[in-house]
Amino acid sequence: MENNDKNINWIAKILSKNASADEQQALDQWRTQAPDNEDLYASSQKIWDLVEHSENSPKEVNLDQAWAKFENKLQDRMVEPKGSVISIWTRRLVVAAVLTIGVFGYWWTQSSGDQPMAYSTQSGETLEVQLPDGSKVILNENSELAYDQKFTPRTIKLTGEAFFDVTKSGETFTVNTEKTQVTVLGTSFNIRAYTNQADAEVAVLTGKVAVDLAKADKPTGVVLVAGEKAVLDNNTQQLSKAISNTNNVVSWQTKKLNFKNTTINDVVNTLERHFDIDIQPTENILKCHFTGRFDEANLDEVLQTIAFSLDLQVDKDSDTIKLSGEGCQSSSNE
Amino acid sequence: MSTNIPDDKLLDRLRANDPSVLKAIFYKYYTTIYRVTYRFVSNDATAEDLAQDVFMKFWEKREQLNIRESLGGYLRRMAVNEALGYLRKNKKIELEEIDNRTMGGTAQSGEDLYLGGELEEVLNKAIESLPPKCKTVFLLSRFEQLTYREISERLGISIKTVENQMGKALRVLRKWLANYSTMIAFLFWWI
Repeated sequence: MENNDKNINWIAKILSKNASADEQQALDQWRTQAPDNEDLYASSQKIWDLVEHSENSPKEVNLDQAWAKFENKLQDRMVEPKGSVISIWTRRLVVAAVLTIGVFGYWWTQSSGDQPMAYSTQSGETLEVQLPDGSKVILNENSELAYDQKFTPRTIKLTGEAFFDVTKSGETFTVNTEKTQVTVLGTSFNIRAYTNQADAEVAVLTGKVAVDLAKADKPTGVVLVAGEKAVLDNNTQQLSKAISNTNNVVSWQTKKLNFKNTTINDVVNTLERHFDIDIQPTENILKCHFTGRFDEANLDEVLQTIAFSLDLQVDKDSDTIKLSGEGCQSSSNE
Repeated sequence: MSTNIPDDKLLDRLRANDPSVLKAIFYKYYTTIYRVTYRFVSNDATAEDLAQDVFMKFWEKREQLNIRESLGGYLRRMAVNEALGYLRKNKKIELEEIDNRTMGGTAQSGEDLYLGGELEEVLNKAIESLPPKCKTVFLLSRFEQLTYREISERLGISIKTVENQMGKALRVLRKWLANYSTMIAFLFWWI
């Protein structure tokens, strides 16, 4: 075994082009000595080559968004005072003023440790909030977020939908919604808990999350890992676990939709949520499958593409969209 | 926004202090730079901050720049520096996070991966599962094409350690893929 370890070090050196000519030659010889040697080398090389093509794309990059953010930072830096015109006296005054505010501000934050902080969004708005512990929350539209300024323990109240990227610390991070309690250590996840909607949903992008019912007497919860979600059925008050399409869970944030052999039923659910509309597919097309990607596409473009690929008809009412068609024979293309 | 303006044109405009050039450079290289920082830090928000810092530093230092290689290569090198600086500064946090992930990852690997289904995903998870130092060494060699000597100098470790870490990385990757037996059977038969 130890020998094998040495050989792998050797192979890694060859593959990464760090070996000398002598080492290269020695290895070539070693490879011919036993079929196992050659196997070890060949399989290592395959992995080495494959890794190059592993596209490690965490999220799709939105250049316009990234640039907008960057431009803001850039402007912040550019408005820093040049400082040559101000006389020494004015400078002192400025310093004094800043100090006063500083001291006052310090006193104020100290004395108001449990000052409630609240953020809310209107229709069509999203808001990024940085919490005192460095965690990031992106609040979707018509949502509310509240916490104590002191933020110990790390507890937050949410109505509506938000994406959380939680900074890791020894202390748990808890999100209370009307009906659920979500506890994490450090991770990113999406919670959807609008009061006017039937089901609450928690989807996990990275890390591990525990979800419990808000008023549970005994532990009723489920533990989720990346790629899973918990759905609370409002009628039965039961939490159930399911596989989550993490791409589309945060589509409200990324503006991207991604379907891979997805049933029309699921496609419709995603679109309804993404565009905040009502879509009614006829029963016979629910089992059809659709594959496709959309980047910042509008509703019409998406509907047209789906309708075209599955030969569906789209009828738009004032506030409902009807989808109908012949249905699909062999529904899955896998 | 066009993203394929040739580098020499961009550099000419940069020298002429044309303020619009920054946006052009940003659009052309941001995605690449972001992917580089992401590989090292494995976190969206951090990778984004680091990538943005790269362009900020690039812009602030534009007058002292002396770019002998390609613009892309230069930015990429800045990105690696930025990421390594971050890893060094946050050593504790990183170690803890990645260690946790490693444990979770191997415990549940098999079935989970099969459901995910894609080779790419397996490879990424495998790389993610490497211990922090091992992963950094591997990334520098495999993706940044640094030599063992350069890696040892950059990270302040011996060449012997680099060799061992590289071997370890390769072993772990092999194990991940071997665990994934159906996939590997398919792979060897197919490639």
